[in-house]
Amino acid sequence: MILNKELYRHHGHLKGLFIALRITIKTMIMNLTGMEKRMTINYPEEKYFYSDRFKGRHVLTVKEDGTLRCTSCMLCATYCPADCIHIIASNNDDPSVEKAPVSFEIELLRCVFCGFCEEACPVDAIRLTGEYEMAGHSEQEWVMDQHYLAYRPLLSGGKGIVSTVDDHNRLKLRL
Amino acid sequence: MSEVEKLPKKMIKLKWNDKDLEVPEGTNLLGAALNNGIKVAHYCYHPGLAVAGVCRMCMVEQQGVPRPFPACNAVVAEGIQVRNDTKQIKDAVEWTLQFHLLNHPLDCPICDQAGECGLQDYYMKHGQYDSAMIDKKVHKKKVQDIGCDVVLDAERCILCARCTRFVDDVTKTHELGIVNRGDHAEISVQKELHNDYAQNLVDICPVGALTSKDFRFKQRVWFLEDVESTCIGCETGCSVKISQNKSGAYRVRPIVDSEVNGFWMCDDGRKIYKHLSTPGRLVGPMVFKNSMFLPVAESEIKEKIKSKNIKFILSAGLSNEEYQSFFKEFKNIKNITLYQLPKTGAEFDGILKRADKNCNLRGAQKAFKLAGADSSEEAMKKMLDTLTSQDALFVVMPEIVYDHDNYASFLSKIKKAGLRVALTTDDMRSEFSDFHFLLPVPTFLEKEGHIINYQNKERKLNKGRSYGASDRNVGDWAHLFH
Ligand code: SF4
Ligand code: SF4
Ligand code: SF4
Ligand code: SF4
Ligand code: FES
Repeated sequence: MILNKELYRHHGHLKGLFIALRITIKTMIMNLTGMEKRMTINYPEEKYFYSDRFKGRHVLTVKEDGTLRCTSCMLCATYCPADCIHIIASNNDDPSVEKAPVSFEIELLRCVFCGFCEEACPVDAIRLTGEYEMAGHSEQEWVMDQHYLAYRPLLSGGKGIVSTVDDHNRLKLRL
Repeated sequence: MSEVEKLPKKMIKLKWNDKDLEVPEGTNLLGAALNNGIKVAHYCYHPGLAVAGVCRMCMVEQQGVPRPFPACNAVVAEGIQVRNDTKQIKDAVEWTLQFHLLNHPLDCPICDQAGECGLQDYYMKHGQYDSAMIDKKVHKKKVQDIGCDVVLDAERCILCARCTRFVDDVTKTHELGIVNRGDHAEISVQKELHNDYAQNLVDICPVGALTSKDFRFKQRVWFLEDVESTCIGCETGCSVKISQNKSGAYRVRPIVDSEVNGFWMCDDGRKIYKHLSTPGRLVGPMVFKNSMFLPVAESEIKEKIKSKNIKFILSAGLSNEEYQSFFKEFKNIKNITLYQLPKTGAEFDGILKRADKNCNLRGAQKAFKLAGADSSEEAMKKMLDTLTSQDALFVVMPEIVYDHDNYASFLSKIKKAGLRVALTTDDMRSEFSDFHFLLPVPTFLEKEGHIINYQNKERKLNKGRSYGASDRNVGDWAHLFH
C-alpha cells in the first residue's frame, strides 16, 4: 500500500522518494559529518554506562579484609518479593562476626530488580549495580553464588567492592 | 493436698484500667492481668518462677497508694483500682526501657531471638528512638558456650534473673548467678550447665542472651510455623509445639499445660524433631540390593511374602487410632507382639522425665488386649526365639531409640526370619541393612491421633507438614497380604 499517493502523483517516484525520506537523509548526513551527536552507540564495541542508581546485577560487598560483609540476617530474603534469595547461615568462629553465610544464592531469573534487598540490608552488604549485560543458557547459569556475587573479575579485579562504612568505623560512629 | 486447698478459692474483684477482673484470691496482680488478656510489658515475671521484681517494666499505680510499684510483686486484693495507662506510668516504662537498652549491643540482625524478643517488641511500642547515651557502651563477653547446648551472650542480658531463678528453683542445680554491680553486673557461670532441662533457659530468657546451640542460625523465627502436638520422648507426654517450614523441622518447645508438664519440658524431648526432615526419609517401598536401598514395586514384595508365614512386631509408639486400624486390617494374622523400649535412667527424675520411653505403652496394651493378642515382653522373646526361614517378619520400628545396645541385640535376633521387612520413616540407620524391604510409615507429626500417657490421659498428636511418604500408616499396608 502506498501512503500519500498524492505526493508521488505530483512529483514522480524518484523525487517523491527523496522528499519522503527528507528527515532520514538529513539526519544521516548530520551524523556522518559529525554535525550532530548520534543517539546510538556501537554496542558492543562501545559500552553504555548507567548511573549508579540503575538496578542491575547484585554484588555482595566485602570488608576491608576482603571477607563478606553479609551477616546472613536474612532480612533481604524476608523482604524479597520474588523469593529468590536463598541463604544458609552458620556459626563463624570469630566472635566479632558470629554469624556468616555459608551459602548465599540469588536466582536471577526470578529476580524483578526491585532493589528491596538493598534497602532491607542493615549493613550495606548487598547492592544492585549498573551491570545490565546478562545472558546465559541453562537455568544453572542464572543462579549466582556468593563467590560470584562478591568476587567476580568485574569487581575490582576479583577483590570485591569494599563498603565505605566499615565495621570499626560503624562502631566508632555508634558509640 | 490438704482439705483446705481443695476448697474452691474465694473470688476477688478488682479494676485494671477500666476493665473489671475477677480472679481467685492470692493471684499475682500481674498474673491476673495477663491471664485476662491484658498486655502488660514485663521481663522478669514468669508464672513458673518465684517473683523477682527486678525489671521494673510492669509498674502500676493504685488508687490510695502514694507511689507506683511493680505489679508482679503484689497480690490481688478486693476492690483495688489499678492503672498502668497514665502519663506517669508510661514515662516510667519508657525510661526503664531506655535504661535496659543503654548498653545493649543491638545485635538484632545476628540474634536468634529477633522476632520473638521482649526488647524488640516493647521498644517498638514504648521506645524512645534516640539514645540518650553519650558514653561508650560497656562490653561483655559474647558467644560463651555454657554447656548443655546453651550459648550465653553477656552483652545482651538484661539481668531479669529468670535463668538464675530457674536453676535455683526448678532444677536446683545452681549453675548460674549474677555478679558485680551496676553496668558491670553480668551472668556468671559458676559451673557448666549440667541439668536435663537447660533448653528451657533459652525459652524463658526474654532476650537473646541465652540461645540454643542446636537451633542457632538455622532459621529466622519468622519463617517458621508452630504445630502443637505431644512429645513422644517418654511416657510423660508433655504438650509441645514443633517449629517447621517447608525446608524442615527445627525445634521443639513446651506449651503451658498445667495438668501434665506445667511450663517446662526436658532436653531429651527437644530432640524428637530430628528424624522428621532428614534427607533419608522414605518416599516409597525400598529393597536392599547391592548394599543399598533402591525403590521397588509393591508387587515384588507381594510376590516374596506370598508363601511365607507372616509375623508382626509392633512398636509401642503408634497412636491409638493406628493400633485400631492395624488390628482391624490384620484380623487373620495371629503372630503379633510388641517391642517395648527398655527403661532408661531414673524411674522419675522429680520434674518431668520418666524412665519408660514408650510414649503410648498404655494405648498399645489396651489395643492388644482388645484384639486378644499378647503385648508382654515374654511373648515377643518367644516369637524371636522361634523364628524360622519360613517366616516373613514385619517390624514396625520405634521412631526414637535411647538404649542402642538393647536395640541392636533385638535386631540381631530377628535375623533368623527368612524375610525381614521394616516399617519405618527413613533409611538412615545402618541397622536397616539387616532388612530386605523397607515400607514407609508416617512420623508422629504426620498423623492425627491420640496417645495415652502415664496418667492414663489421652494426649493429642497433630498433623504438621510432611517430609516423606505419610499417606499410609501401618494398617494401610494390609493390601500387600490380599
Ligand atoms: S532486587 Fe528485589 S527481587 Fe531481586 S533479589 Fe533483590 S529483593 Fe529480590
Ligand atoms: S545481604 Fe544484608 S540483608 Fe541480606 S542477609 Fe546479608 S546482611 Fe542481611
Ligand atoms: S540471661 Fe536472659 S534470663 Fe538470664 S538474666 Fe539475662 S536476660 Fe534474664
Ligand atoms: S519428660 Fe518425656 S514427654 Fe516430657 S519432654 Fe521429656 S521426653 Fe518428652
Ligand atoms: S515483671 Fe514486674 S518487675 Fe519485672
